[in-house]
Amino acid sequence: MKKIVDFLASAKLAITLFFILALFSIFGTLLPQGQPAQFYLIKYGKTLGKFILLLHLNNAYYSWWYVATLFLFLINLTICSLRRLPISLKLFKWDSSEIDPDKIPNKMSLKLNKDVTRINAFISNVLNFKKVEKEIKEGYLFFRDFNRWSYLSVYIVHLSLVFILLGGLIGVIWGFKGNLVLIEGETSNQIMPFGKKEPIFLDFYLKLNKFTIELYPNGMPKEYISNVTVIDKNKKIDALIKVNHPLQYKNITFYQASYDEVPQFIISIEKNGKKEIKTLDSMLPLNIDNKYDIFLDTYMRHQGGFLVAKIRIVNEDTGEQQIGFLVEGKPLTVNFGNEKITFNMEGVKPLYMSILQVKKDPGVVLVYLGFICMILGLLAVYFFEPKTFWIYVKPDNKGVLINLGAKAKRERDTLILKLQDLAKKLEKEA
Amino acid sequence: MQFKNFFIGCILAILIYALSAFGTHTLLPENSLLFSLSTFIYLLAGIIYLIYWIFKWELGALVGSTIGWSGFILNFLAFIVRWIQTHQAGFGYIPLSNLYESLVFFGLCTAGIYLFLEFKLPTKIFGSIVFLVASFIMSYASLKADAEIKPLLPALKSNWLIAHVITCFLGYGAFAVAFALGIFYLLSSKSNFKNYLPSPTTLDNLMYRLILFGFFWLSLGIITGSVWAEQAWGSYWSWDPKETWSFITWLIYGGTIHARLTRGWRGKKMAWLSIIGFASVLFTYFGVNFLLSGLHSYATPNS
Repeated sequence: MKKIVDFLASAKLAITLFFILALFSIFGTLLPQGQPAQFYLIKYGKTLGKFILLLHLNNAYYSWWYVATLFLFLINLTICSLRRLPISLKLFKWDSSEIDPDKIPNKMSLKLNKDVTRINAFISNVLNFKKVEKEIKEGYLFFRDFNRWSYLSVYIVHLSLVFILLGGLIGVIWGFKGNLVLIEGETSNQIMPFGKKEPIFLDFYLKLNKFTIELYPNGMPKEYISNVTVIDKNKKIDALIKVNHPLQYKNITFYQASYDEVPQFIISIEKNGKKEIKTLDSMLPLNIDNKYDIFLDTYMRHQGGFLVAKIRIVNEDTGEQQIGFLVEGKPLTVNFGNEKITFNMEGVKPLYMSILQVKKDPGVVLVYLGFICMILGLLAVYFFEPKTFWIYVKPDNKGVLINLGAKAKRERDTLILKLQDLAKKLEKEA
Repeated sequence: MQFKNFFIGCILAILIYALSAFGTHTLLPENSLLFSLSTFIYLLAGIIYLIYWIFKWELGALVGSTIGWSGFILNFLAFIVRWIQTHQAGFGYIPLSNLYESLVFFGLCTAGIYLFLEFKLPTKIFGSIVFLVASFIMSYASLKADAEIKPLLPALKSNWLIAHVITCFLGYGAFAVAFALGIFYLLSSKSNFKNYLPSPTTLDNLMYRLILFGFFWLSLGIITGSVWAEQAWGSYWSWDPKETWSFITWLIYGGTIHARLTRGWRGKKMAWLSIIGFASVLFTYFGVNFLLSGLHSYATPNS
């Protein structure tokens, strides 16, 4: 057991995992992800296709081997940090005055022919060092600590990764992501989640009032705007959804993802010598005389560029139905017994369909907290290096011997330079 | 005087700017002209640094550095001019949005990080590779990317774009310089180069510091990109190839830092990791755009 924990806590494992995770992450970028199984079998041939599916390379980042490596990384990170924490805490709490004045690390000596009290005053008041109060054998010991707290900053960085991974996990378990497709004028609460067949129904509705595309003078798109109304029981809230400006309501966020155009047909209907103009779209059937329902079943673009609409006329009383095709300039006549109806396509009006991505992710807060921790932690690690400086002042009959020394967590090379600076200051200014 | 190279470089850059303004009879010369000029100046600086290094021409250090500074300042001026010209085109934006703009900014970051670092360096020979790399990046921009100013697509209209691009390229610039040092380190073990290079320990330390610096900015770059993606597309992470490759780069450098801190990896291993890391940076930046498809398609040459 101890062996396993030792293995899981080792820095060797950590470094191996960094590089293995880097290697494993490559696979998923080489293949299109999340396509149906058939896609891989056709594109890469049977053998290679089956191999891809067997190893879950089609969904690499959610495969058992990737998730397991990520999980091992998380465990290694946690155990490693917990093991080292007591050492860092000890360093954090350690009293710098405890040091043996003859054994200061990185020792550097200089001799000054100046008055001891003057030197001591300079060290305390100008250099802001603290004097060790207890008795020191042959002189006076001073110390100064910098960024003591930063012994713990690396744990903030490690903790931030735990937050981010946990946040991601929460999102996968308790969140969802899907599409809400709305045609102008339509109201819906039905979300089609990605990768699942069952729709999700929100407890409020969204109505698309209007969809607008703004263009630059050269014809490039400038802005896509969905003008929507949230309908929640008796409450109505108007809002605009743009790219980079999502709408958030009840922890659910709506993003402008895409759009499409659907045609709306303007048709004239002639029955018993009476002619009416109506618009027909695929959302709602048209009703005439409370007797006939007209459905737009489908439409297609003909090679010549004109649109063909397939309509279905249902007699509500008998259930009898007839199907016909409508093209501009070519009237369509259907007979129900002795009743004759003539349809004529007068024109086509485009109707926009806005595709909104809908998301609920309760993990985002934790992920963002992780981001903040990582930034603060890295700043602390880089710019607030824990350092301690000591000055040991030893008067003797010829003058004053001064021993300087210091220790740092990482940047040991620059310490020597800092000590040389300190020595210069003492020589010149004290 | 310590900042002689900087001041003379500034004056040179302003002179070159004034000449090109005079030559084209306008106060604001075409930005792509200025970017091309700084490409040539970087190349010249690189060559002079190279002569200084190989032939031990002592004055060359100052000349190379001065010319390098003038190229950097001109590159920066070109950035400002392009910014103004986007406003003149009727849809102002900070020019950090397409392949061309990001490449010339990459050049600016690489040159800038090196030049500021140079004040603290014991020798100036690294300028040779750094400026050759910077000039290569810039000429690649002029030859392969579309320099025309085009309005921003809706997805790019976000303040996060600016934070994202600046942080990423500061990281990339630092990694580029660390890569140059890695090459120098490997050369330093060859006997015929030994006399021309600073001690391996100096190279090793500098390389490590640059990797630390780059890692900080890369982390910030990934975070800002993530927050932006969350706002624009509703997903802070979607395993898009660009995102994944930035994560791969992050893992390589993260592993490098930990290997040094906990296992004491030094020297050759670090030099190779710095080279592999930079290869990953280049793949994140170019390879993903050209070879794999994804959300960053606006950074491809023909879009």
